[in-house]
Amino acid sequence: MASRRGRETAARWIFIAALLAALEGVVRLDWVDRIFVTAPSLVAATAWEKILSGELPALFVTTLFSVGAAFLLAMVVGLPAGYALWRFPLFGRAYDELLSALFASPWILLYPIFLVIFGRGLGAIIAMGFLSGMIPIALNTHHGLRDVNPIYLKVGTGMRLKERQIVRHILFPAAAPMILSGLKLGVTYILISVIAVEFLVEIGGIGTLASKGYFWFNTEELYLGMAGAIVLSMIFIHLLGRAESRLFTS
Amino acid sequence: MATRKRFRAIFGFVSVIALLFLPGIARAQLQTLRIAIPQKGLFDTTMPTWVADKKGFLKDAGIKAEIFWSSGGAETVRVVTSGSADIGLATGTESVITAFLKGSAVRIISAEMTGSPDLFWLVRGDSPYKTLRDLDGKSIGFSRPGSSTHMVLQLAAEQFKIKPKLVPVGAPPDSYTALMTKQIEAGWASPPTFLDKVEKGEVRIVFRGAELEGVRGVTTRVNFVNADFYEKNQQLVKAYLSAIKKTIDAMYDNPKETVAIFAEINQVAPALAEAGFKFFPKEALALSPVSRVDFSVDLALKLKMIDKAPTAAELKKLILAE
Repeated sequence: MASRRGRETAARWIFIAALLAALEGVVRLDWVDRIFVTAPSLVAATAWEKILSGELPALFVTTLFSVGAAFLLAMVVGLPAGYALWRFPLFGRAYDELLSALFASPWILLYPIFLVIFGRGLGAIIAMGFLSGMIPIALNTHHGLRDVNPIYLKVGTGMRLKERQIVRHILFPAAAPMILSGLKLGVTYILISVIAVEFLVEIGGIGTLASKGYFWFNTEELYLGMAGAIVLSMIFIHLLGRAESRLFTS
Repeated sequence: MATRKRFRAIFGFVSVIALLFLPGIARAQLQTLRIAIPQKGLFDTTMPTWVADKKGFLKDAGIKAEIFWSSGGAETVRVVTSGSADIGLATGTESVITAFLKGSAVRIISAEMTGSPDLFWLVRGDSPYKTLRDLDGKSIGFSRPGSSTHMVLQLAAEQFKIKPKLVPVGAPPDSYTALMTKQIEAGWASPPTFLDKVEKGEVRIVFRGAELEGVRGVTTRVNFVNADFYEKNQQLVKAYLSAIKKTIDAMYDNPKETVAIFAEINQVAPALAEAGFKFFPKEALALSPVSRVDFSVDLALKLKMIDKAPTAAELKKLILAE
């Protein structure tokens, strides 16, 4: 009898395989215009060709670098910012709504300004990604810490723990699920932002590939760019998931 | 006698009703033509259809124009291919050829631009660069890969034997921002955009598309139609092209009126619109012939937009115009 995990994996891949097979059939039967949709097999063939030529790995690494750098910066700023919003409740109350409003705004429209400030290069892409990711990280950290049961803190104080010990052994473990959700949200928004700016300004990694595919009617390249974004997202979410399970089992 | 009176009364009543409903009937006879026009405000893309509509030439041809504004190139091709628009205007010949070879059901119905007299490149007023030759190794902006600005810039680099760094910057406002914030050393524009800045000395023109020898006589942009739509509405498409041809003649017969409309569309001073109008000789806007297609095919091959040249049969299928 298959394990639960095996059944989960099978359920996931059977659906995806069915979807891809249906798409392949629809395209092969010429039911859709190939300028809009292409067959997964053709995307795979293009991917293989570009892997062999070294083009796809280079684009992938560029996007990975931009997303990684933006994520690291977003964590370095977002986690302490979230902590500061909790530690100083006046600021927390003053800035929480404002940050939530900013989080809901279409940051992407500001890309020309970022190009002016940071130049037409990876700097602008990373800066846009950083801003998109930092806000959910800071907000979720704040909310996670704010919602920790006050009894836990009272117990810590009763045990005469120092503030640093309370933060390390009580606050952060209790707030960890919310903080990790913030990190997952952050990485998702960073990825969207990085690929969107790459597409718009044609600088950098797989967003550029999708852009070229769109403008030159290479539908396979367009879908390959989208597939690359999904793969990158899966890598980051998987890594965060592993970090989460390690954190909770230790 | 009474019968005659009754007949007159009925005839009078029917005539009045007919007169009341006649405009409606006439309107009902107009056929809707959905037209995708790139880059609102540019002279060649916007003016012919806009003026034809304004002067009633389209109505005379039985057409009610429904205009979609697009950002050009691939977007226009996709809008027409999907059937959201019937006709797409002013799209790079090599782009339409590429889309056709990759399965897009489109047909070229006329030339839209011959040569590239409309495009020009600017440097900042304080720039040390005087001509395009001086920009060897420097960054120069163009709109999008595969666009006419991309094509002209590459050919100019060949003509002047320079190797600039080509940077895709988007539409003229983005190009201007990139130029003035020193992201690039030269940016592209098309009349009447930024001619006022040229006048004030804030920017200088270093290169005009008209200087490019290689594209003289080449149809650089075309008008095209959705193939299924054309099958069913050949007469309507032909009527549209006749109306546009008549409009272009009228535009050049009455330059003052044309300049006034051009100024109104772009909300600029008439003097500026007039300066912009001068970039466009009438022959550049001729709807026929679609000439030197071999040039566009070579360009598409060179840019790796297509893997192999279209056959003569494929070109015959694609190009319905002369």
